[in-house]
Amino acid sequence: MNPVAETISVNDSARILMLKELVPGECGIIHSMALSAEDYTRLAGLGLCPGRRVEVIQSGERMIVRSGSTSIGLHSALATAVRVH
Amino acid sequence: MPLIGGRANKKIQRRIVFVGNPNAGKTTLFNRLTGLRAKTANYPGTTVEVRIARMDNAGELWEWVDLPGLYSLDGNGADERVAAEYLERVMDADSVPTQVILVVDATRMERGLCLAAQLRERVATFVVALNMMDIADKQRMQIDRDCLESELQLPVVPVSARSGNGLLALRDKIAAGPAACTVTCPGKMVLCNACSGCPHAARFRWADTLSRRACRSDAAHTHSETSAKVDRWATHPKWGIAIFLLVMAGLFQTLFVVAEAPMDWIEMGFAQLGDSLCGLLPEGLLKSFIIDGLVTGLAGTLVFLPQICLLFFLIALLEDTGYLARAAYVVDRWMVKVGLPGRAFVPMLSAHACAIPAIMSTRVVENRRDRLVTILIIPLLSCSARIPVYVMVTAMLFADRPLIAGLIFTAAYFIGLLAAFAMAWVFKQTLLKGEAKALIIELPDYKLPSLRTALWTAFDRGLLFVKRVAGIILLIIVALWALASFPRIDSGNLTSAQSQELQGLIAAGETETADNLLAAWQLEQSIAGRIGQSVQPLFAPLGFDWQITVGVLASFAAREVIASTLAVLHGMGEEAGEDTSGIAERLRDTVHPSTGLSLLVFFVLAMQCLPTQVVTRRETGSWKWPALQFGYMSALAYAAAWITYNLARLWIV
Repeated sequence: MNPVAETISVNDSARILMLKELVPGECGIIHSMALSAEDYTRLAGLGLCPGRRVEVIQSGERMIVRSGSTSIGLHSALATAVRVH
Repeated sequence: MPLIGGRANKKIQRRIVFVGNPNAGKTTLFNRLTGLRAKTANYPGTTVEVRIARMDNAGELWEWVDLPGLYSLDGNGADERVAAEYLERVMDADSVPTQVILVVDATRMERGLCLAAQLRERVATFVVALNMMDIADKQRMQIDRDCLESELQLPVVPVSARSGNGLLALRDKIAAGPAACTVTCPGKMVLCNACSGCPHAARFRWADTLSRRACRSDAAHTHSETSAKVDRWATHPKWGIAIFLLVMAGLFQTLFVVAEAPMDWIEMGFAQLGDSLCGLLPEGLLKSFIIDGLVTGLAGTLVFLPQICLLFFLIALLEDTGYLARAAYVVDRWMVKVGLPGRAFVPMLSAHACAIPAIMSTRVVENRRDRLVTILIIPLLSCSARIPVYVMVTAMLFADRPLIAGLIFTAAYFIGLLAAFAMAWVFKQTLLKGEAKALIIELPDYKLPSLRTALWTAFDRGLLFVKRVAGIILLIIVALWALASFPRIDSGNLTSAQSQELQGLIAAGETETADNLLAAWQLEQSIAGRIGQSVQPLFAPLGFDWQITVGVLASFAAREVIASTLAVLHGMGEEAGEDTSGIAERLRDTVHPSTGLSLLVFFVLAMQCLPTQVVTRRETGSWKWPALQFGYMSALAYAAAWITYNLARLWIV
């Protein structure tokens, strides 16, 4: 697990959302990703990592998100572990 | 230094290594530069495929290597590990001057730049090939090459692998050699890793800033927006499935319609070859070996070549458009229910041509559990070698009812598919417990596919298949011929009844029938025939007679041989092995329809391909998995064939 997830303060958590909670068209900046090392590396390789802007294109059990010039299809279970602000 | 693709005759004096993100057009560029001289080889000790070309350049031997696409140099995938390991070794211990070419998609520059940053930490100097400039121009992107060069301190060459623009400049840069690439080497790119604890974040921050500075676009609509519009339909939970089914139906329809003519040509070609050799060769063992063994065996195998090439061609086209990634995304929600990841979809699609490359391509599935399940179930999908059996049995049972024959043929495909999903679910509940990994898949922007790349893929896959035929399959064919031909019978060891029958036929002028009868007796007396007769009781509950049993046993090495074996066993002469409808007619007279159906089901489900087992062993690193694959598929085939036989006997009088 990435230690970053543990550092969310009480004040921060008020405005920090799960990526899954964004609706299509909404954007956020990735705050943290509480994922296994394997999933973390995979998402980061595609451009989803803390500090990067992410836009939700399609929501649902399978989501499509866009980061920079890359569209990524991902399971919403992963999107609950990605926090955005 | 790992040696890919075998030892070269001459000392390699220069190595050019291509690296890049998946979907950056790296292989298209590599193929453009190396042409048909490139071949696919396995990275030593793995089944990861690497494209390699050795070419003479002004008297020097240059080796061009196309590494698998990678998202990052510390990724988890087998491809990524191999690429990273190869680069490390090439840079550390190799005395051969090595030049690395990083292929970057100009329309998604920050991804490539991020990899550049990572590569820079390991490789002092390399050339950045800014690919897909044709698409970037269409999107009215203005790329400041000077800005990129000065920031990266590396040469940047804009190219378009598809149109061929810029290739000359890239060739010049490669010809100039690695030394000429260094402007000034700043050493390792210093990145702030401490801020977020994530080195990727730091690299992306740098890459985002640089790509914003170096690239501007004033297009009203970008490719991404168009892709997003198409995706509203193509990835929709309901419409997406409908589109997926339509695309797959179109794919297989095209496959069957287009491949038919070249398959006929191959069959006719071999039939003619057999006829001419028949006239040329003297009667005897050599003639039998060449015509019954080599020509019949090769014809029975190479006839699948058009289907294999065509399916890989169509898959490559679809993949290049960007649709296959959407298909994997769409089917993921269904596949995870049985414990298969959506990413297994493309290997499963390839399995309809041949299980071997399909098993090799399961490397796109990163998780070991998911990959094992995929490998275990892939041979259940109907590969092209099964089609002649389906054709033969459906023609035998429903010759006068083409609609039902068509339905049964389609049903055979679906039984395989259904069994694959059912077994994946069984593995999920038993041996390989757990859920399939949650989906993460890149959805590249839609684009027009490259015909050239698809043709290369088809050619490459075809060549691999022919090589395999030349090796192991040919060996099996020859061994089968030997088992079916010895011990020889002649007029001396025929029974008196047999001699009388034979003489009667010859006297009546029916020499062909007499020859066929003799061939059938030869087989009955041969080692294969005797094995068939002693094993037959095991297959009796499925309705198989000893002839079918020999055919089934022979097919455990390679299922392609069933048609020719049955032709010989039913005394039709070996040439009839090429004509499945001829065997069908003969079988209709001698075999009950329930046996036909049971044989069909058995062939749909049985593991009858030694080369596939060998690849499974190589891919999984243990004989345990191919043994399990063989065991469960044989049991499944036996049980399903038994049920089919008994049910059919109740219904078909």
